[in-house]
Amino acid sequence: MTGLKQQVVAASGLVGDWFSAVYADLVEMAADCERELNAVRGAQSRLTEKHLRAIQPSAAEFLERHSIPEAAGIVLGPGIANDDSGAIEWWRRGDSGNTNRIIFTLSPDVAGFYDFVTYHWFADVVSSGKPAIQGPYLDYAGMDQYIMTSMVPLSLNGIVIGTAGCDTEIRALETVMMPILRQIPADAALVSEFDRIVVGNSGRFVVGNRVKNLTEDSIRVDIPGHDLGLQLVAAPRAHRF
Amino acid sequence: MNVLSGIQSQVFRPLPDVLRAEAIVERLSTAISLGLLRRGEQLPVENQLTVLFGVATATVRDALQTLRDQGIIETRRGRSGGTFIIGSPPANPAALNDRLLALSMAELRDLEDEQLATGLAAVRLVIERAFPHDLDRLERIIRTMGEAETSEACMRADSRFQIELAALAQSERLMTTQMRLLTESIEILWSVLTVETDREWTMTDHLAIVTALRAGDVSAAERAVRDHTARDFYRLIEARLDSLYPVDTRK
Repeated sequence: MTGLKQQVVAASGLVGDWFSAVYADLVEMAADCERELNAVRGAQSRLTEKHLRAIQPSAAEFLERHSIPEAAGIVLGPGIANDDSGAIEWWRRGDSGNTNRIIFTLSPDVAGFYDFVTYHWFADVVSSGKPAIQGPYLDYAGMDQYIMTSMVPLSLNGIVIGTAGCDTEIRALETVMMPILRQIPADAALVSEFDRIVVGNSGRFVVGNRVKNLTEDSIRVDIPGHDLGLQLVAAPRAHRF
Repeated sequence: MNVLSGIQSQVFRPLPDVLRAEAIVERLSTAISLGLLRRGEQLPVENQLTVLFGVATATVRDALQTLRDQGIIETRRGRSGGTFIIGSPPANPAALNDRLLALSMAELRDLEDEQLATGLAAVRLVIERAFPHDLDRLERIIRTMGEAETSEACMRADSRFQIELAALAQSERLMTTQMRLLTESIEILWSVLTVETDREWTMTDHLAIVTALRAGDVSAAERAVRDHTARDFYRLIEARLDSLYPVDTRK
């Protein structure tokens, strides 16, 4: 293995450590939410939107443990807690250690409708039962921010009813990832699916663009840990201008 | 009251008075640096400024006092009295560096996107609407940059080139957008560029734009704008990364 390859592998380990810690706690948060939902609905067989409020402590605890993600909670598909729309219980970190509940518009006939069911972070996590990450994307009508969304399945007594996860602003993620990427003595980028750049260590690889025109001497390494489709890409330093 | 969702909670966050006064100082200083407000010009009266900026009278007074203390404006009493611009804001490299470092990669790229969109729209409209002698104005500005001896002078020529482009597009809205973009980025840009290393390619880029406009060649004009915008922001991004995440080059 070349020296550069070794350094890219080492960096991918550090990146993987960070995501693994987040996803491990999301799995735990999902289990806590399940417990809380079961406790609050008691003998009632059906969940209602009011019951969902009970998961706030789990979301708050997650946000306390992880300073980079900005909001956390659960998302239920249509028909679970509400006859015809989905339900989102999402809590954002406040300015003074508190959490604020974010309200989403989930009826399709209203301006600002948040049509989340087709999103990768919902559709694919519910159908595959596996964790996923989406982004960077502009979460229009959702957080209205430029974010990454991390999700794991949310089950209730053995049945997947939705997802549990967190949103991380790109600018916050940059503060953790950039120091790792700047250690690589080459143009390097963390990319998500379709080679979209999440964080890049030079003006050549800028967030939101796609990595292209890679030469044969470039290196590509999967981020270890959960299979989220994240990779590190590195190419010999080339000044564009 | 329910907690507001997403961007709304940011939108309705109360603004502290001191921040508003600072914002007014920064807005006016930048406008003077870019030459949008000129020495000798009179500012609107206090009441008018209060309405225009949508702030309390005390906030406007605080802002004007700061500018007075910096020797940028002067208030004269009497019949021909009023508040006048008498100086230029001092160059403040530290403040500009702070502004650059405060921008994330995503924000810089987004700024580039809007700058690019505005530039592309402008050259398309200029090709539709401008006459050859209009384009002479752009060439004169390029010559001015050729005579510039400081990066501040380059910055003024650079910003005039882009404002002139929007003006030749005959669009007030494009001009407004261009001015807002310039106030956000051009001072920062020229705080990382230098006369020695960057004046030449900036002029070459500007000349490529004018040449394409003269030829009425839309795709060449667009390519020239794209290349120029990419070069500017590449330099900004590299400067920010080098400053914020220095790499040990001895290795």
